[in-house]
Amino acid sequence: MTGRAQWAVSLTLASLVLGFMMALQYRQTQTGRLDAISVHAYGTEEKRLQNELAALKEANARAEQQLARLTAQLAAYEKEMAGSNSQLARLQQRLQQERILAGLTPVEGPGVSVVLMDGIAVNSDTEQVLTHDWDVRSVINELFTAGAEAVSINGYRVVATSGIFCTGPVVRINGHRIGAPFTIEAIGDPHTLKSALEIQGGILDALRARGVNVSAPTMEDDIKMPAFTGNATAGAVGAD
Amino acid sequence: MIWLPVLGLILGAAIGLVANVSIPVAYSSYLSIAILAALDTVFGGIRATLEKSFDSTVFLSGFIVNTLLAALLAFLGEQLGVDLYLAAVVAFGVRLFQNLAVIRRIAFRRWKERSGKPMG
Repeated sequence: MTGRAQWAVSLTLASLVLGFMMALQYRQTQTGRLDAISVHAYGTEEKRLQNELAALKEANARAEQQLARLTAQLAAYEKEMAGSNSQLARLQQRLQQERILAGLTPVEGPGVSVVLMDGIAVNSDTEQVLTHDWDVRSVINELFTAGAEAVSINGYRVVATSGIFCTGPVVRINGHRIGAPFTIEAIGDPHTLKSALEIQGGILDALRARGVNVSAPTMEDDIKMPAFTGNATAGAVGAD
Repeated sequence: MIWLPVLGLILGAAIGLVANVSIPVAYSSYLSIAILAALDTVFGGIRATLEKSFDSTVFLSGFIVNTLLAALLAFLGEQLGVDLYLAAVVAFGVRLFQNLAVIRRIAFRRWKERSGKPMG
């Protein structure tokens, strides 16, 4: 009965190895499942951080509102203080104008708005159709050159120390990260600003030729802009 | 005698569970293919035993070579970007079921013969 013993031994040996491998694999999948559970736990941690971020953002918004209120109050007090003194009143007016130019006060007035949007790459030349920091900068420079008194990008006021630069897929303005589309608003003489943008071979034409999706500049009767919020001395380096 | 392979399977599983051996996740897919090949060979061995055509040399060499080849095939497929392990899964899966079908038929026949004998 050696033949019988032979098959039993061979099969037992093979079964032993098979059992061993199956056990290994079983343990592997089991630990995999454990990993998935810990990933889930990590998800709650992420949620907690998200909540924290939302709370911080809300607090930040409240603080900004308070700042705006205090600034308005300060302006009112200053006006009151000037009273009937004409020289002081003139100085006061100068100060107010300087503040507008410096972007320290919320302003409103007629102007233009234009939207820059990433184009759709037709022949995989994505780099060409994206809106880059220098594109936004060029449009803003054009607006300031044309006599814009106040400019904002997606509601963020642009001031002398504002930095506009690319960080990965977004553009950083005053330390705020914003993504396309970029709505650029400028307060000033609407006709002048509009024609400055629309000049033949001008900045918008150049952008359109490259494939960037540029809206036609529209004249607005009343644009409201918030005050510059951020560190006035370090706006360009983006105080986070 | 017939319980020996089952005992071996249980013993192997116990060793695998108790021993603190873990393979890297990257090789997990090779192991699964190897398991499939081994499973196929074991069932082939059982079938051969029932058909009384069992050859331990063929069986053991088949067990080792099939297992290694299956893992190698999976590895090669990964290097080439072709899901070759699918071929192994299908091939071994089909053979596995064929072997199982043959085993079932043989078992039925024997059972019939055994129960049919007393009646005549």
